[in-house]
Amino acid sequence: MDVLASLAHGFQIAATPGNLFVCLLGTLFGTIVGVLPGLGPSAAITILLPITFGMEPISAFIMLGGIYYGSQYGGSTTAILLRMPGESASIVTTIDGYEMAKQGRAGPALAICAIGSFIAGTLAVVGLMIFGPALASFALRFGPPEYFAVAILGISALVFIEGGSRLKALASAGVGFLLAMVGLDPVGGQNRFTFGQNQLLEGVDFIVVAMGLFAVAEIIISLEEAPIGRAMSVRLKSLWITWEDWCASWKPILRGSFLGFFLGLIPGPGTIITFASYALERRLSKHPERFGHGAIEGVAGPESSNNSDTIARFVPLLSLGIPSGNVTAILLSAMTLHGLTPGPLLFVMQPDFVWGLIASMYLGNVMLLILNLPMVPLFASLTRIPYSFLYPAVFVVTVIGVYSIENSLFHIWLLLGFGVVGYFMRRYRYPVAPLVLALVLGPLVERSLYRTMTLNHGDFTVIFTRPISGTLMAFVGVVLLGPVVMAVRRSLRDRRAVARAGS
Amino acid sequence: MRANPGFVMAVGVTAVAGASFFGSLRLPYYTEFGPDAGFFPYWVSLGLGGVGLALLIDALRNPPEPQPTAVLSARQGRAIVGFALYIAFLAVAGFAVATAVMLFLVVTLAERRRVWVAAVYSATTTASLVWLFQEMFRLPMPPGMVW
Repeated sequence: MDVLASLAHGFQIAATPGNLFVCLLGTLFGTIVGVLPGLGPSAAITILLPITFGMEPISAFIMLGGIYYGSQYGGSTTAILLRMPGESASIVTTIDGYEMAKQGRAGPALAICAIGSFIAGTLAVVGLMIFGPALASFALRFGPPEYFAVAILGISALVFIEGGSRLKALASAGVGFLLAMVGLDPVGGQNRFTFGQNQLLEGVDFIVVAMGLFAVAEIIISLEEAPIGRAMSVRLKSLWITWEDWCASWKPILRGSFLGFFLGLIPGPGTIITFASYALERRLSKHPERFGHGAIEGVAGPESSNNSDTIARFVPLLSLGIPSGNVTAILLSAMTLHGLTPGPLLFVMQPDFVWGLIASMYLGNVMLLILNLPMVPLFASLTRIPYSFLYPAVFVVTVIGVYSIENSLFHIWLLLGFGVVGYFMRRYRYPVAPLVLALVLGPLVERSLYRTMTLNHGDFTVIFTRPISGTLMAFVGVVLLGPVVMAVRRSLRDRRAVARAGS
Repeated sequence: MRANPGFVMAVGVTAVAGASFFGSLRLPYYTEFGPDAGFFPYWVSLGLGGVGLALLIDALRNPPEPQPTAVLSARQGRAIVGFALYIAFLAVAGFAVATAVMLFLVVTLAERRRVWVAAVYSATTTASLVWLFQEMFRLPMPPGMVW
């Protein structure tokens, strides 16, 4: 009942004309960002962040949150019409979505994406309402060892679940930690790694790094790719699903919603969750041979899991102050810039902010459903803007964003530098997410470790002996050693098979 | 002999780790109350150095397939150079002039569009950005000696 009363109060805050307007702006802009190539939610949020400085924190986050989950809708539009995912999490949608479009069923594919995302988003917000306060009140028992363990678990999960080379992901995280140490140290205020530059005394600004690694690097990468083709045309009256389509889709939508929500609580890329949903639907289907040839379940499940995952990531962000991916890392930084203290006390000290944001997600999902269906032809036409005109303007906007934060040309040079670094990282398959997360969590890890050791006379083993932090570190061990154990078992099994074949 | 990009990146990681490690040695490591400024960088750079060496060994053992494309395409190179010149020009000319010039030059020279198209695009985009961000959102723009 307490939760419902808080939610009702949240609706009073979110449903003011000003907040409804920024919610609409955020969801609309997020959809456009999702449709356009070379501009993801991470880049869009960092670019628009300076604009929000003059807003109330709740209005700012309603808009930024709208951009985040709005971009997931937009990404599926290009996945279906162009076979080009607007976001990495929409990769799976291209498999069956584009096939449906080729069969003249782009309308139902787009409609089921919108409906599935709406249902999944709504269910996920209910999950956020239940799990967020519960986790926040549990986290009030956290001390420095627990914060250290949670941060290490978050980064380890991202490094080892990311896929690809774990060594490269570890290297990326290590560089992120080192970047986080630039500036004054948290203990004695010593200069570290500033190379005599006064502009680095306060450290490397996360927003500058994020804009460089996401927005500018994405521009450079997109210049390498071939021009996109023309989108398939969609008419408004074709956006209709049949009763058969609905019967085939409602269970995948529900399964995708739950899968996306619970897996979204764990740090990691959303792409894995959508692939997991696709694999689950194919496994459970009575006609798995239809997958890859326009099966609507192959669109409904993954898109629902995608949207559900997006909302689930707000659970650790709001209740623990721990981001679980790129976008939530940027939102965490934004919270600090707006004078909010992320963590479990947020529910207690800033209930208007938290519940206003949660209520706005319900409203945002409704807006997206209303916006996306009739405006799909318009959004699809945005893909026709030649990239030659788009990318220089996007770069100028990132420059404006960086300059507005630091008023310094030095940071604009840093922006370009990180853009080039980000390009090479992506080209040679060094994941960016661990670097970003380590940069954001580095100060928390260092402060927590120092406090733990100071309070325990230099003994850090208390992290492993306290019940909560010890359990979390045990999970870290599972995450680190699990793949090693599996690899050893696989190798032994292969050797036995070879030996048997030889004999 | 073709350069092994994996090896080059691993050298970069190891170099960063090495530089940080030696930098951390100059910082105080521990006090009577607990860790000091050099403690965390010391261990992180040591760990990163280990990862860098592992990457080096991996790169030498498993050289990558030959890349079908150059490290940086001509279009990408032109864009990066254009952006760098733009930033340098910002300090001299200020936001409005530098942006209009950069947009015009990138679209004509780098993207090979028609001159009149580039002129219209650069003028309208610059005016829109100045109106939106400077007038509407009241964000500061880089000033210059010219404007």
